[in-house]
Formats: sequence, structure tokens, C-alpha cells
Amino acid sequence: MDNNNSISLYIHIPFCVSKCAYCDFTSFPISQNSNQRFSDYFSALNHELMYLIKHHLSPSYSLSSLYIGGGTPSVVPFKYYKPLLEKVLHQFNHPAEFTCEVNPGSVSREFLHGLKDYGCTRISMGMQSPNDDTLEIVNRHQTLSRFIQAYSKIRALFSNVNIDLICGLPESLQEWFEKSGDLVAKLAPEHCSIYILETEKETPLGNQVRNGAIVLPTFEYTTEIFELMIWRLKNAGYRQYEISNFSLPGCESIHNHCYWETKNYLGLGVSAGGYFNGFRYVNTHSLSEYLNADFENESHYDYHSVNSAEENLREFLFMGLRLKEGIFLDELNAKFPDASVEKMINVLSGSKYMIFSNGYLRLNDYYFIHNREAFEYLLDVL
Amino acid sequence: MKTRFIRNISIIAHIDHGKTTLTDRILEYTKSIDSRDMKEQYLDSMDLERERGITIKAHPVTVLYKAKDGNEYQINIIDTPGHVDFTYEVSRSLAACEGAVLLVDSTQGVEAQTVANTYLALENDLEIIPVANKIDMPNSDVENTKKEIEDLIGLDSQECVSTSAKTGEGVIELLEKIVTDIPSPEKKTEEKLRALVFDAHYDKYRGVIVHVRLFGGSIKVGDKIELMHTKNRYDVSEVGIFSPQMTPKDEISAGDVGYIVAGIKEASEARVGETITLANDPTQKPLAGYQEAKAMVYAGIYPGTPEYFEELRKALEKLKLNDAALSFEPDNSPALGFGFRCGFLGLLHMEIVRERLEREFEITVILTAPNVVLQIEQNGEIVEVTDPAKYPDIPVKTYEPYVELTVITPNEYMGNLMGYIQQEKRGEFNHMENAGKDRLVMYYDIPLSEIIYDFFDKLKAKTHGYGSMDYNFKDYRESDMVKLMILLNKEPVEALALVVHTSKKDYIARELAKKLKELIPQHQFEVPIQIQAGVRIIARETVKALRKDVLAKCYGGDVTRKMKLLEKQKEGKKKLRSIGKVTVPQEAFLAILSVGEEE
Repeated sequence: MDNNNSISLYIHIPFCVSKCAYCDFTSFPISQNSNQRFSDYFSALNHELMYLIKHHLSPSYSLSSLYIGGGTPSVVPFKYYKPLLEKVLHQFNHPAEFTCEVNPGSVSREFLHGLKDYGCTRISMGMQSPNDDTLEIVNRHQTLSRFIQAYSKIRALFSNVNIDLICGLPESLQEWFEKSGDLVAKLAPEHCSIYILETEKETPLGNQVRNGAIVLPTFEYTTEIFELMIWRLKNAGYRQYEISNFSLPGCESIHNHCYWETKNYLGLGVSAGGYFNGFRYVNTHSLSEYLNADFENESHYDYHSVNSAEENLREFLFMGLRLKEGIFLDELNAKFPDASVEKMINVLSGSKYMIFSNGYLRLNDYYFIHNREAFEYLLDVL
Repeated sequence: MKTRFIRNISIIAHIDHGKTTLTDRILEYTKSIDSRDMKEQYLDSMDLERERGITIKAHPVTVLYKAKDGNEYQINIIDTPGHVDFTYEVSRSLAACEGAVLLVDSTQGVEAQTVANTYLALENDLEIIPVANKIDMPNSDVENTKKEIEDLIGLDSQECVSTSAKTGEGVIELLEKIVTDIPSPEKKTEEKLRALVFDAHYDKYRGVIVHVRLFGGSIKVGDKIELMHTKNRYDVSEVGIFSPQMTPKDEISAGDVGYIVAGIKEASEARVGETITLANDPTQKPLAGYQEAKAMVYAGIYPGTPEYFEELRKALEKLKLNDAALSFEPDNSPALGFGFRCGFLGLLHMEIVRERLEREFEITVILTAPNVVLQIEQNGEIVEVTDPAKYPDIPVKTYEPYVELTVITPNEYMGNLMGYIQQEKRGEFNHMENAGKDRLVMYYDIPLSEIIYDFFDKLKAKTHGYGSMDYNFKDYRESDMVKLMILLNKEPVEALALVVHTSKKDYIARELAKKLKELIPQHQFEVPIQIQAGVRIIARETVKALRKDVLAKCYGGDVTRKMKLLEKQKEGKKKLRSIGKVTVPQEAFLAILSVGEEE
């Protein structure tokens, strides 16, 4: 499908000090004797990398971005990363963007320097809320002062930093908005992601909300505050280039872009997913299954399939419309040279959700934020 | 008891003028009930009546009074309701009497309703004794009250008795006057049995118990009776009087007011207004009976859950037994399922029926907004439309009911009230008269639809509680009406349809949409509320979805899951749409009643 030979790589590290109440990512709490776990896990990652290189990647592929996410990558001592990173960087070039997520509470000097030595260019750290009490309620053991301390440590080494925030936690959203807005303006990270809280069923927070133990702000109010935050960040010089992502000019995330533009990317690790020339997969969510996987026999997949042309189109539009600029029509036409596609684009651009301008099809300002209805419409039309 | 010692009377009074207190006092003075059993408002036997402090049903009670002339008199008092909705009940009561006590609160003066009921009594050739009540109150004005009685009703104020039902002052004087002034029933015991059914109630062990006034003949246990209208025959198992509890007697005869138990099973078998006679010695002439009560407003009543349809039918039949003015026929609404289209005398009547269904029969019901009966021209014929949903979507020649409205108000509120009635309520001014010292009566022709919702409350508010009103059906007049269809989630909900005057359609549509938005709960999906007049949507609101409308997070690992989830939710939503699963609470059906409340 994607004929240019660039690829992005994601490595999932499923370990955390403790699990936040809202989190439904695959992660496991660490303990005193997790070292065996780490070494087993990195050994499995190594096996999967070998498998991927063998089946999908010739050395002619260039690595456009590398992303280590989790869980909390920084809870695993850096020494475990070294062999894996060496193999990746040996196989490929040094990517233009190499991001690692770190936890302000657990990141060590050694870890940061290790990253720096291996060519990491970008650090992503979760603040979520500036209120210590709120973080305590959702079982995230972090304080604002530690966050700020960690931030300045990181700042000294890295010139590209992202801060994650969650809007809609059980707290005063007004306060969340004011404090986080002030903080972003003061710390001036290059990139900022703002998510709206999702209460997934199988999470402690989901249960507490369902049984009434925790009352969340209403969706409407959360959305209002989210919109206020967008306005605030805009005034501070950030550009909302994707629904949840903001950056200073020139600092958009390369890695994230590859998801939204449905470029090739490979996910490595438990629960990681990838997309490679129309082949889509998600790995098993079970740590033991992953550790014992026989990659050659493809037993590590939770799901895999080769997309039909139609599915590729759906995904291309579904992901591409998340970008502020939308979808470049020439690119769409080149990828899907079909008369029916053109017809469909006419239908979409005639709907109340979208506009077509300067060669791009995009969601209009209102539906860019209130996008569920627009995406539902999109799936209806497709 | 010889007929000449019987007096049958009604008490005509406005709400709160002390009618029930007066009856209680009479019961006490004649020792008809033990003071231990005495409770406030003895006659208002329905919980609802006691709570609201109003009389809804006509209640018969019999007392024995030893008069100053040494004779003992039997006085049958038929209590009457005072609310404007219940004129019909009053006329039923009056038909069973020879006289009436006109009770006026001397702190308030004559009210519009009182005037109307007095005219009813005069039409029935009743002897009327005016009474100025509440003379114990510091703001009592007996002289002005007397003057109003003369001005408004034309009765001789010399005949007026002053009482305080509360302290008992003047009550003996009144009883004496009843004995001396009100004629005894004509002595027709030797005639064939003619008993007028003026009320009935249901006893679960004994069936239908009819309340009767005997105009001729007599009846005793063991007699075989025939209901002249239905020709049904029954064996009498008990007769008696109300003193005030039902007290069995061997026989009741001409002039008496009492009850008959005869194993009548179904409510529909013993209609109010029916004449009862003896099966083997029948009279040839049934009594005039009553005019069927004319329902002025209609509304749908649906069971809260569809399974209760049959129970609702049975309950309505039982209610109809002693609420002759209630009419109902089966109806079917796409939104609410099977139910009934019911006719009522007015809004209070409707509210009472609803509450009785819920309290006495424990059936939760959904009531739709009330409407008046319109007439439309179809194929050269006049057709009545009692259900707005059945009103044509396209304009059609329409006639709406007009009433003659009588309003009595202190002079100072006249300007305010006239502005309201003429500008906001389409009232057409007829004329005006003085009433007593500083009050006046205004007469209007006004569409019934303008006064059925909140007119009475507004009148009270605009006159600081001093205004009163009454109305009588006058005629049908051509009117420019339009149907408003309410669409919830794009589906028309017929049970919410209404027909309004064209001049008001935009205002009503806008306000109603706002109200509905407040009342309809949030769903998992967005619920658009649209109000359509003809082919145009003239008002819209949206009940926001009870969910996020922002998909904030989506990355490489979860594309497929996110899309599947969205597909699934979308399907769920479609399903809900297709079965019209918008939950509409009861209040939403009555939202129209509160349109304009905040003004």
C-alpha cells in the first residue's frame, strides 16, 4: 500500500509502579524482584523484533520515528533497553524523532542520560491534573511539585517535551483549566496532548462511577472546559493540529502523524498494534502469552488481518479527519484511484460536518471538537 | 315521616365560603353525628376533597331537626361542589330539591360561580334563602354583601340570614327559616314509584349503590325494580337514608332522599339521571332526568404500563358511576399504546380523575394535554374533532367553542384584567355592571381554549385573589386554527399534538419546545425536538446526548477497536431510534399547560 520505504516503530513497556484508576492500557505493577520479568520481557521484545525484521523489514526501510510508551517505560532500568535499542539502531538509521514516555515520579538521572546517549530527542510526561488530591483519588501517586522538579531535570537535557493532560477527572474543572493553563504557559513545552477522560468499563474508576462512589463532571461541562483550554493554548502560541494534540510551530509529533496518515508503523510488545502495507495487527494483551509466544507461528497476535481496499479507505478517512488540516485530496485520489471515491468525497464535503478548501477535506470547526456525530456519519456514508 | 315534615335542600356556595363547615355545624346541632366522630368537613368523604378543602361530589345527608313549632323535621341536604368545573354536579343536586341555601362569604362578597349556580336554582324553581356567612371575621361586611346579593342576583336582602358557621351563630335561625320558607315535597306517596338516580357509588361487596330522590310512590326491601332506560330489573335488598352514614330503613317514600341496594353489578347499568320504578307496577312517565353532561375538554389517559389497560378500563367505569360527567372511549396512540380518550368538564375535573385513578385504583396513568372540541368542515359536513392528532394537517374550515365568561373583580384590577383578556386571550368584551360598592362584573365572549389552561390562576394572580369567574358554553365560531405536530427524534408523537390559534402558533411552539427540552431526560443519543406547523418546522430545541460527543483519543494500537466501538454504538442508536425509544415523562405531555408560566 504505502510505497515509500519509511516506517515508524512503537515499543510498549507494560510496567508501572501502580495502575491509575482510569487506565485501561496493558500494564502490570512492578515489585522488588521484577528484574526477571524485565529481562524476560526484553528478551521477548527482541524475538518479536527479529521476527518483524525477517518478515516485514528489509534494511532499505528508513526509520522515521521511534516511540517507547507504556505503562511507564521509566520504571524499567535503562540497562534493559540497551541491547534492544542497539539492535534497532543497528538495523536502521537514527530516526528524526525518538520519544520516550517517562513518569515524573520514577524517572532517574541515569535513565534520562541513557536515553540521551541513545539518541532520544523527545520526552513525553504525564501531568494529567495539577491537583495532587485529584491524582490521589485516581491512584496516581504524583505531586505537582515533583512534576515540576522532573520537568526542569528533563528540560536541561531535551529540547522537545510533551505534557499530557486529562480533562474531566473528578475535580473542579475550572481549577484544572486555570492551573494547567498557567503551568503550560509557564513551562512552555513544545507539545501538549489534552485528552478527555474516558471511563472504560473494566477500570476501577469505571466501576466507581457506575456505583456512584465517584461523580464526574458532566460531558457537556467537560467539553466546554476542553474548548476553553483549546482557546487558552491557542493564545499561548500552540496550534491544535489534531483533536487532542497541540504544538508550538514545527514541533508536531512525527510519530503520531504516521497513525493519522495511515503510514506504516510496527508495534512491538504486549498489546501493541501495527499497520504495514495493509496488514493490521494487535498483539496479545496477556503478558504470559506474549512472554511464551512462538513468533514464527504467529501465536502472539490477538488480531490480525489484511485490510480490503474499502477498509483501507475507511481507516484513511477515519484517522485523517482527526487532523486539523484534514485529508489532502490529491493524496487520497492517488491512494484510491476509484470514481466512487470521488463521488463519496462530494457527498462528504456537502454534509454539514465537513468543508473542502485548498485541496483538503476537513471537519469544520464545530464538528472538529464535537466529532462523534461526524465520525458516525462518516461510517454511515462509507 | 309525613311528607309535610320533609325539606330537601341544596347549599350553593363558592369555594371556601363555608358550605361544608355549615353542613358540619348543622349535623352537630341536630345531633346527627356523635361529636366524637365529628371531624372537619364530614361530608367531604374523599381524601382528595379533604386535602384540597373542596367538594367535588354531591353528597346527600339527612338530619332530624326539632323546630320551634314543636315538630320534628327531616332535612335532606345535598351538598354541592363549588368549583366552576362542577356546575353539572350542582344541577343534579338541585333537581332533587325544593329549596336552596345561598351561602355567601361576607368577607368576600358574591362570586361569579355563586351567581351562576343561583340562576340554575332559579331555573329549577327552587326557593332560595340567602345567607351572609363568616360574620365572626373582623373584615366581614354584611351590608355590602346584602347589596351585592340584590344587585347581582336580584334576591330580597331582607330575607338574608347572617351566620357564622364556625361559631354556630345564626345557624338555628337558618334551620328555622328552612323549615318555614322551603316548601315540603309534594305528597305523591300514592302515586307509582318514580325515583331519580342522582348519584351512585360502588361497594365491592354489594355492587352499585344508587342515590335517589323519590318523586312519587315508595320502595321497600323485596320490591322488584326496573330501570326505565335500560329495562333491567333487580331485587331490592336494602333501602335507607344518609344520616349521614347510610342508615337502612324498611321503606323510603316520595319526598325522601336515600339509597337503594339491589345487586346492580356494573357501573354502566345504573346511569345517573335514570328513573327507577316498580317492575310489576311501573309508572308510564319517566322523570325528565338530566341532560348528559357535555365534556368541555378532552385528554388522553393511558396506563403507565400497557398491561394495565384492562384495569384502567374497569377503574374508569367505576369512576363514571358517580362521576356522570366523565366520558371515555378506547383510543390507540403509536407512542403510548392503548388507552382512552376522555372528556372532562374542565381541568380540575381532569386532575381529580387522574388523582382518583392513582389513589383509589392505584393505577399510574399518563395524561396528555387537554384540548377543546373543534368542529371542522369535511365534505360539506361538520365533524367534531376531540383529538388534535386527528385534526387535518392542511388548513380546513374550523369552528371553535366560545363561552360567555363572567368575571367579578374589585374595580382597581379592571384595567389590568381587561388588557389581559382582550389582548392575550382573544376575549371579546360584551358589557360591564357594578356589583355592590367597589366591585364590578364584566361579561366577555371568549374561546374556551383560551381559558382552560391557566386562565383561572392568572385571574387570581392579577386580582390578588379577589377575582372570580364563571363560564357557560355559548356557540361555535369560525376560527383560524393550525395543528402543531411535535417531533421527537424526528418521529411525530401524536399524543403531543395540539391545535392552536394561528396568531399564537409561533409563541406556543417556541415556549413548548423549551419546556419539552427541560422535561425530556438526556438519552445516550441526541434528541431533537421539532415543532411543525403544516410543512414548516417553526421551533426546535435539542436535548443533548448523555455521552461524550468528543472522541479525543485515537492512536495506532486501537484504530480497529475504536472504529468497532463506534459502529456498535451507532447501531444501538439506530435501533433505539427505530422503536422511538425516547423516554417521555408524564410532565412532558402536560408541558403545554405551563407555557407562559414565567411571565
